[in-house]
Amino acid sequence: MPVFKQSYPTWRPDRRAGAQRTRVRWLPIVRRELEQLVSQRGFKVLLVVAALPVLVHLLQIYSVNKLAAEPNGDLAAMLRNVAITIDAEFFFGFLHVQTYFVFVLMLYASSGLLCDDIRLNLAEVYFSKPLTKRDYLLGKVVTVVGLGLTYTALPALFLFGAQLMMVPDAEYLRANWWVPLSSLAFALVFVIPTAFATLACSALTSSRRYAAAAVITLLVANGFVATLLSDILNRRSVSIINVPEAMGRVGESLFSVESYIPLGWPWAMAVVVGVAVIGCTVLVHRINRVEAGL
Amino acid sequence: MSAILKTSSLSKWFGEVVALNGIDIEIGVGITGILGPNGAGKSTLMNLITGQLSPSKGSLTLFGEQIRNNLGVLRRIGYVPEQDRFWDEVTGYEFVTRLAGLTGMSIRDAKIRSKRVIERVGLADRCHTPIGSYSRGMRQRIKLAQALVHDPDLLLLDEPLTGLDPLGRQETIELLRELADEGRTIVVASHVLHEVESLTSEVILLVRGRILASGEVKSIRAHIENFPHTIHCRSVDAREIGKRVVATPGLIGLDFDDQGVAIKTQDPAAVYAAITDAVVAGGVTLDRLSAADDDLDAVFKYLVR
Repeated sequence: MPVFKQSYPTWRPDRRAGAQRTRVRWLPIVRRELEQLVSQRGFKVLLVVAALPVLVHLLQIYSVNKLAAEPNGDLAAMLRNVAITIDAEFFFGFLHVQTYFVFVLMLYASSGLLCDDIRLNLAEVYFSKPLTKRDYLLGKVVTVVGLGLTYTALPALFLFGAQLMMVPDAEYLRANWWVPLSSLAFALVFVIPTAFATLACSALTSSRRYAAAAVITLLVANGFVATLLSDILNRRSVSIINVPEAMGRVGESLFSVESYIPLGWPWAMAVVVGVAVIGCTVLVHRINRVEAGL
Repeated sequence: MSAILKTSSLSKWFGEVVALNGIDIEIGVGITGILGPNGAGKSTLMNLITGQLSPSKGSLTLFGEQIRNNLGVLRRIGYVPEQDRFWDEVTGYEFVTRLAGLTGMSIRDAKIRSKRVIERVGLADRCHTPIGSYSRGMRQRIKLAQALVHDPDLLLLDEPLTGLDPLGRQETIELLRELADEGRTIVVASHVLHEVESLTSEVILLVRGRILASGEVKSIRAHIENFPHTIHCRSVDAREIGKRVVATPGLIGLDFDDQGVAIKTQDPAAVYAAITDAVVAGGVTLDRLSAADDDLDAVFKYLVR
């Protein structure tokens, strides 16, 4: 007894909108998440606070290049005595400070990205649209990674550009041309594992508060275990299992800064990549479980 | 015309739990109700149709194509889920526009179409207020709007009338009928019999993952042999009516009460004829005659018992 009804006319839908389909299917996800975040007051405050180190470092660059160069004046003399050098270490220092601010920003942004969808069962709506799970995940990851890079790599490049504009000749560029590349690389080393780890915690919990608490707990536990093992084994190199230390170690290598950890950067990189892989695996596994109703 | 939605031996199990077992259905243009109690497999079937689940066995085609990971087919589907807790802080207009973006429309198209579809579901005056302030009925409408914004050929609705007040229910029913008249295929899943019955007479009865019956309610009813019909006669002359029908073929029993008699029979036509003869011949006053179990509720109860 098949169910048929043949009395209706064939419907010809208006498909003009379809002709203008966007090829980047994850872009609407990014757009929606950013709109959502920007509408929150707490996020706006964090955006402003995370921009403060940029302003401070810009002021330092200006002071060193312009004010300290003044032949007369007490301020110029004082600045010359402070002995700030705008070199690779300066940019590494900026990024190192910036990672604390950006970590809080990324944690705020990512903690609710997946758990809210899970709690509200929005995956059901998302995946009834022409959207693959990969698009969905990519949208979420791009949101967090983009946010992180906007507040690390982008200001580092901006500061480098500001420095170039203030120095009188091209000598500085010839000596430090690799700094922007190192800045971008270090920003990626920090942002990608952080994004995957925070999103994974968001995917595993049902509330943004729990997700944030889980990330902080993991971070504290990681630091505690690393310090404990380092002290018990009396080996400084063991502290490399502390993820922030590992990130810093990679950064030190990228910016040719002397490290106090007596272990090569590949080990540190392995820890960083390990965190990213674990976070990514958890994310993919969790999203694939949508089939079982999340 | 070929079927829009076709399944063949479609089965889905989760571990040892069989959610759907060998489902064979063909659904064409118009409204079709998928009816069954909670746990019957309706939501699993909906998730299979929207490609969110892959069949454990068998096949499912939409518009002649496999649905799983087929974005072209997904563009032709509009889905109204049962749950209605969304982003409470966004307005109805933003909600529809954002979800429209996921169907691949440009921002401009999404805005134009969202406005149009919101007007169509009758929410134009409240579309710029947050969803958190919406009533249940308004949430149902905004869900319908997001499903319609890309002009789908197939509309899937999970419990679409739940929580609606009578007026909202009537308006939604009319809207769905209009959409069906435009030539769309509409599949409505519900466990509330009268809701489905108010929308369509084409039903698929699903119980414990199997199809119990499918087709028009009346034809299903007609196909069920040995299903006793109960005819209620409200009359002061109930005993006289009882005498007239007692000899009719297929009579199962008579149940008298203060207001009349309930006649159980396998041949309702013979009973109706006997009662008509009695009334025409005189001496019998009949206040009301009703067939208590000609509706979907009775068919369903009979089938699942």
